[in-house]
Amino acid sequence: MSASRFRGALMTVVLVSALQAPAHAYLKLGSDVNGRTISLLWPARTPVRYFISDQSVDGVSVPQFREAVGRGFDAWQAVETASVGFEFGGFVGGRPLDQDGANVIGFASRPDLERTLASTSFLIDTRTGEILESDIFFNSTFRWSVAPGGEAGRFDVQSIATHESGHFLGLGHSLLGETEPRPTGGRRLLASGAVMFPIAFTAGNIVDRDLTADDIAGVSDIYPDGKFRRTTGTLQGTVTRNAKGIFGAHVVAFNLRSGDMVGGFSLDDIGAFAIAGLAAGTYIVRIEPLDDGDVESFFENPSAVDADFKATYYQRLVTVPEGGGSVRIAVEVAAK
Amino acid sequence: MKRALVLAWLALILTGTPVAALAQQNPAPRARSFELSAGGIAVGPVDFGSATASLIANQSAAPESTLFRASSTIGTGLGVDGRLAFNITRALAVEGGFVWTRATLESRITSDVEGVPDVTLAQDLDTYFIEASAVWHLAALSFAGGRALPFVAGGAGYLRQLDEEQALTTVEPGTVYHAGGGVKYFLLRRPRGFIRGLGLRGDARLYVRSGGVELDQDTTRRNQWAVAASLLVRF
Repeated sequence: MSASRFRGALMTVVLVSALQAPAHAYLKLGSDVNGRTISLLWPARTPVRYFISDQSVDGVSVPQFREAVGRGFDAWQAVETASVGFEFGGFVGGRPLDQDGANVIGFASRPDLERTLASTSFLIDTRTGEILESDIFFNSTFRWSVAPGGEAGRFDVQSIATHESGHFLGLGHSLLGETEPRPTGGRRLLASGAVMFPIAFTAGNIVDRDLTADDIAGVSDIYPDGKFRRTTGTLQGTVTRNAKGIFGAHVVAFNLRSGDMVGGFSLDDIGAFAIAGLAAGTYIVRIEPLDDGDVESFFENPSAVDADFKATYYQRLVTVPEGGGSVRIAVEVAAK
Repeated sequence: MKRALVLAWLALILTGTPVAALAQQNPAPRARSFELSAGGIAVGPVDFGSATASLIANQSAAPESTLFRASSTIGTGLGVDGRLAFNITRALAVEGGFVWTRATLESRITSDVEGVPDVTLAQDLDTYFIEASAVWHLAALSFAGGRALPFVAGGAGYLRQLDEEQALTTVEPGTVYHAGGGVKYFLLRRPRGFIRGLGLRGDARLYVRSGGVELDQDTTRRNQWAVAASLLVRF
């Protein structure tokens, strides 16, 4: 079983596309509403109710699947600076991907999606960006496991559920990771720094059960609780080459004290970026091109992404204050 | 010697009274009198060690994959040191102090995964101490014909560090403790008048601070040496 198979390749089933939201990045999913890109998110009413499809697969019973998925949701629900909640609604006979008004999570056999472990789809209100329905399917073409310590040769349901439930909440992919191309196509994961990185660990690995600082900042930015804005700060600035803004540059903020890394992207024509949810402190800022994943898994319009520049450090350390924004830094990069 | 003459002349202008000879006088201050000093200070460096920006490795013997490494320091800070002392007795004084220094916080980046050349990133860092001290004069150890008065001091204070833009508080305020000693060397003293003495003051202190800029999660206190040299006016 290949380790390079994508998880969470975002399917745009109805009315939604994986646009990038303009404000704060990790990436958040967005929708174009009247010429304006707004973040996808669940309406204020919580918890969000979900149902589990009653189809089992080899090695994973329906109750086991439900428990593993529940633990995946629990990881996000436990984030102290985010206000999200989930509620198990019961088992249903419906399949994920059906437009039935229910948020259904379950297995489906999709051998045609040979690189997709699982996927999340949305039905949204195009006027507001609110999510009306979201389904998650796990591709039963692969071998799955719910073993507490993982199982060699089988992908961990809980790890993948944690990733997909990040999409379910409106998070896009993170680029905190390193990959290399595979001779047979696709990319092989070398290392990852976020559950929301688009390429899964090797089958049997359970690392992605635990959220990272990047994941936590992302979900907190979409669903901030009362103290989030007050207790964290924002790194902001622009990325340019020859004084022209770069779209899609990956910006990594490294906290010198905690060692936490949070990434974001420059998201407009002037190369502006803003990464919210950072602990106050001193940061190293590293800029790199989007070359460790398929651009399509991050942005709807890959041709807009400019990856023709060398990885670069901002020449000074940057202070991120509590409850506010850093000075706007300007990073000039050089062409490759 | 020329400097002493200038200071003596200045004292004459200020007070209009003659300057008394210093030799063989007890150098300890009068009880219930004030002293003011101002000068320069150097506060020693801090080495934070190195931090690694790492990712979790997939199928590798090593559990982590290094994105880059950073070794960070705060260089020696230079600034001003001002103190106002009230001599409760001839031996004991209480003192309020203000210290400002500017230093450079630096991180040296190495081992970048994509081969970015090593680079040093910097940020100017302003540090403020507002502190209170107790000073004990060691008159029995005076030397140089009574001109030099050793002392020991210790105290605590408030710490605040700001980044170079002076607009953003780097961290929450911290606390600083200090202990040390020094010598007050009087170039001239007078038994009467508003100004009773002029001289130089040298300090050596050990600061123990908690709070402020800290780049190591496991460290809560930092020790920094400091030396200061000031002009001293005794009232």
